[in-house]
Amino acid sequence: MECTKIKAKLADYSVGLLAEREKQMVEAHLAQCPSCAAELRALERVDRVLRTVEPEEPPAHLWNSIRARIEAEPQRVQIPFWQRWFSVPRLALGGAAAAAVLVAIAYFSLPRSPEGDAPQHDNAEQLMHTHQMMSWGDPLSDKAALGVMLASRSQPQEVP
Amino acid sequence: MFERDNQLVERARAGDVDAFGDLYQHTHRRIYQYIRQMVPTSEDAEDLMQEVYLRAWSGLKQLQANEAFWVWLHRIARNAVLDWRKRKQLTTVSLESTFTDDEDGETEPVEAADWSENPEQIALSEAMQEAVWQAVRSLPENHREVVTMYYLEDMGISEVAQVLGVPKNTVLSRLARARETLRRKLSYLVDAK
Repeated sequence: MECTKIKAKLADYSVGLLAEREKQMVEAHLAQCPSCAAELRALERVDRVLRTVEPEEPPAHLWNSIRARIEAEPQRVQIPFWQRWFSVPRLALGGAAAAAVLVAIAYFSLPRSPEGDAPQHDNAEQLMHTHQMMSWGDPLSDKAALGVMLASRSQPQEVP
Repeated sequence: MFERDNQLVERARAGDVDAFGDLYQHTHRRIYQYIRQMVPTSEDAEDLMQEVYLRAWSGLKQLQANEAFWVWLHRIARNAVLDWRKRKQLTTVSLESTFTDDEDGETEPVEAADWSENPEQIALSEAMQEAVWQAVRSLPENHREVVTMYYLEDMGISEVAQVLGVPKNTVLSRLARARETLRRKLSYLVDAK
């Protein structure tokens, strides 16, 4: 193989890119051609020069600038999954607890008849009708209806 | 290193800026070498460094568990450079022309290197180093990338291929072409005396 063709392959040879057969042909030529061998040495020196140059140091203040910009951003609040699980229904749970307390207060503040807890309401049909009407439009109507019922139960007791 | 970085990544994901600072310390020299070779001035490199690490901080959740932090970071750096170039091309001349001296010719000669004392080693003067940098920066972008990663960042061929998303033989081929070009540009340094 002539020198021109060999020289065109020397860079590939120097990085180990040649197939075995081509590699052997190049090595056979290099063994008897001082010009091509010198060319290979020059390529290998490029490799050594590049390994010798000193990298440019990044400026020391860079991290402080980056940190300042990170800290100027809105905080990324990391919430554990169990807290996230509780965080959404917490309001609902609180509301339910408050409603339960109100119901309990209302229930225990009612005066009881000495004969027992039998309902005093004499118009149950009207109460059911009111409850149904309210439940159509209001998901909280159970509580409202309960309030209506309790109020109506307490009325006879308020009259002396 | 990989394990330790993973722990730091987990802490940084939870908002720990100090942990992210440790990740910065592990990676910033490599990333700076890369960016510095891709843009013409150190001021541009500083701006891009900030952009890269801010992007990384914001995107930590996207880092896959089986991926090394610095390889992922390197991809961010690469994309940041490409975005930077698009912005610059809209307003100024191309990046290639900001770097290029005489494309195929030698860079401006400095004193010749003396290989006689120790053929395996060479001490480069400041002027020689500057000439080498100039030659590297005038390489076509895809060759410059490979040279920077392989020599300045000390990455293996597989790692370079991973970051660039190309086969190993493509990396080797680019490295070979870059050596040929640099051999011409730096002939006063590498030809035997």
